[in-house]
Amino acid sequence: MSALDELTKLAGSLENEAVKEWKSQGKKVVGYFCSLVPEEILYASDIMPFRIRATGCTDTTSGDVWMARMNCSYVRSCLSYLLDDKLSFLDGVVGSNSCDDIRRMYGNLEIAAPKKFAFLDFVDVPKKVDDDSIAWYRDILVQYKKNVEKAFGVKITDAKLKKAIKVYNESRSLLKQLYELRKQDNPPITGTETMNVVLAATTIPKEKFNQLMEQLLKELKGKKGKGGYRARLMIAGGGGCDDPEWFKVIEDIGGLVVTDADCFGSRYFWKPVEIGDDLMLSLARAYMDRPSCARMSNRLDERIDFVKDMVKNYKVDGVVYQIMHYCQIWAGQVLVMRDEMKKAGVPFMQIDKEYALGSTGQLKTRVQAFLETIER
Amino acid sequence: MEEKKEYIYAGLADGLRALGDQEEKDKNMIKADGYRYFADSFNRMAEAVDNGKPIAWVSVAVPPEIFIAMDIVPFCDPVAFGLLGALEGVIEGPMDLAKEVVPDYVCSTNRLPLGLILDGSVPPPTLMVTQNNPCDSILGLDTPMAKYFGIPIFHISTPHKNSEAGYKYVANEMKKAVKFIEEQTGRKLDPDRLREVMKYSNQAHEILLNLNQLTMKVPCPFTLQESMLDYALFLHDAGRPYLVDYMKKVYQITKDRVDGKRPYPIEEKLRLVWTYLVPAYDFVGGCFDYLEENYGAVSVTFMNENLVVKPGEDISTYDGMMMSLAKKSLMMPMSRECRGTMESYLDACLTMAREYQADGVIFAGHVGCKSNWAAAKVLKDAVQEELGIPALNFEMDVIDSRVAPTQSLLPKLEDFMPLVIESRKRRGAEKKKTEGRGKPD
Repeated sequence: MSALDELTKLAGSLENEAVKEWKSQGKKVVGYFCSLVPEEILYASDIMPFRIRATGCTDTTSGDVWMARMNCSYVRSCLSYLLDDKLSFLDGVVGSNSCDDIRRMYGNLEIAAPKKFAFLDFVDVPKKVDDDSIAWYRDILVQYKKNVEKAFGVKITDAKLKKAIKVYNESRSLLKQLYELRKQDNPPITGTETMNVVLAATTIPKEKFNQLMEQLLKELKGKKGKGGYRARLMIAGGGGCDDPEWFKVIEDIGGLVVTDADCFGSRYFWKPVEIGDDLMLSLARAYMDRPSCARMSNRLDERIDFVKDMVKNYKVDGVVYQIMHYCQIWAGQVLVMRDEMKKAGVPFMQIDKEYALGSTGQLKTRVQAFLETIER
Repeated sequence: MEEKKEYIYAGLADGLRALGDQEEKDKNMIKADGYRYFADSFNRMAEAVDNGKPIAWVSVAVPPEIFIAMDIVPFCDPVAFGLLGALEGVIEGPMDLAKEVVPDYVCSTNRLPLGLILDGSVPPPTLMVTQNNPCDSILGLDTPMAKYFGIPIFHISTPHKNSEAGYKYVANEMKKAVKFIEEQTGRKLDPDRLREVMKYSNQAHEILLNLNQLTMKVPCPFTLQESMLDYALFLHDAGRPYLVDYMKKVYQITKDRVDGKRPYPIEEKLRLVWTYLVPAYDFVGGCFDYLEENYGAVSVTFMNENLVVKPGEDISTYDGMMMSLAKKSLMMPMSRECRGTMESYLDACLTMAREYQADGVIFAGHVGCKSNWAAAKVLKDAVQEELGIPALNFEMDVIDSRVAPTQSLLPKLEDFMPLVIESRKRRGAEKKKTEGRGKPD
């Protein structure tokens, strides 16, 4: 089996073979929200961090009991999976105030199923990036580390943490190399395939992932790339973009997703953690300072520049700005993102979508129309 | 010669003053004054625009004291413009215009200011100072709006939970905000002037805390219909002498009612607490009149009226004042409930229902508020289980009556009220039984 096939297979199910193998060794798996919570702290405890998602969820009944229709379908799906034992292999859940929905979903989980997971904890991620907020986040992470140590009876030494950071930085570097290949006129990997790779990165042990990534990069070297596409596209926006089928809809009708600004994509790995004397500060700085989510109130210009740079570097023909329906933090950004892309002469399309793809007819029609606009 | 642009501030002030006059005719003196004072806020905006005085749009819980001390007009756009829902035909145009550029599930209180600038009804402010709470909608739209219109903006970062470290963190953010405001306006904050402003703010807050104690009494001497403008007044005018005078007047009228020197606003049969918002378009009558006239049900208070902030503890130093303002901002309604944990949300709502001795709780769920809606089921359960009283949840938009017109809300209230009556009867009987147990035969 090729590395790509193996990574795709691992990404295809939540309780995948790598998770099962890890658990069979008596080791723990802890789920977390979202890409702003450092995985290294868990990994340094020999716990596998698992980015919580509910890809493929079609029944949100359990989540709907606790949350309302105006809460996005991503969090209602995740809550449903957590309550319905679809993620029962998790030994703990770490919530965060990534957004109102995720924050309240965690609150509902605490009340609905207080004993379901042995470890429940919450990380307060500041919503602004500057030296003060990074220092604040460092202190939050110190407390989080203590909570992990106490709950699992482990000691996270600096040596272990440094090792974890190095393993993770290696992943970041390998993923960056993969993205570099996508700059080619005929990239050797599609957007759909790439999303599967990134999903695997968030749901399997990192050392295993790194091995597979090295193999994948070797396999892709010299591989004949994908040609004959109608337009090179970038996916921007955010919120629950973890379904490769969504990219497949685009690519099946001739678009080629060559890059993204998504937290299940580039924003997850774009910058390494610079190791300093204070490792917790290093982590706080790196996670806060990565290409930002729209929740970071003072980083709008940087977000716009990030998209513009991507457009330039990946020779993007059009930007698809996707918003999880009801996601207010990404919805507000449309006001300027559309304008900025217009000024830059970049075709732009906004798509509001639900977490579950459901019938793809409408999406196809919208993307088809967008491709036609680009081709004109 | 360039024609002078007409903005809506002066007209809105007239509209609010007319509502005040109507209230006076109906002998609702507290409401009459409330509308007139709030009309003054719009007048101040009109004058500031005419005179080129700096205007700062602020999000909820950003302390007005800092701006008042710097002779800058603070204007809490989501709340102030939100009140326009009470005036007919004002909001629809700008709301629809905003919908063309941002999705309509962005909170209407944030979309309306955007629409008002877009359609030229108001000019962009001089600057914006916003907090990273209470909600994603503010977080998501304020910065883009500032960029779109070229407005300088500062973000006050706030922690998830309250703690001493968190207060210090926010106090430091306040200092950074002051620096930003000074840079943008060229005005220096004089600590002595701030102290003076904070003294007035403290006085107004102290009276309010005492007034709350009276409001909790049965029967209720100061109803939600009378108090619903107070939140907006405190957001704009805490630190101005006239707010102290207004609060003294309100307190005295309320005290007179308790002392039997004045009649109560209505004969109370049932007490309702609105744990979240109330429809702004219903400020004049609507649901509240319906509940009073048909059931003798007094709406006692609602989340935004439940101001429990303690006045500044230490205003002797600049650091002390910043710390006091930080604590106050984190304890302001919305910042207190909508930020933070489910536990703190439940605690705030249940404490309010308990202290104000509710017979029933109404959650009028603003469709643009995800954090409150995500806690609505848990709150309803807790109200029923822990307080033993019924709770009603329904959807509405706080300013846009088109989402849930009053007429569509009345049947929901009609279905709910028998449960409240039954609950009151049951609890009354239980109380009698308990009291009877200790008495000699």
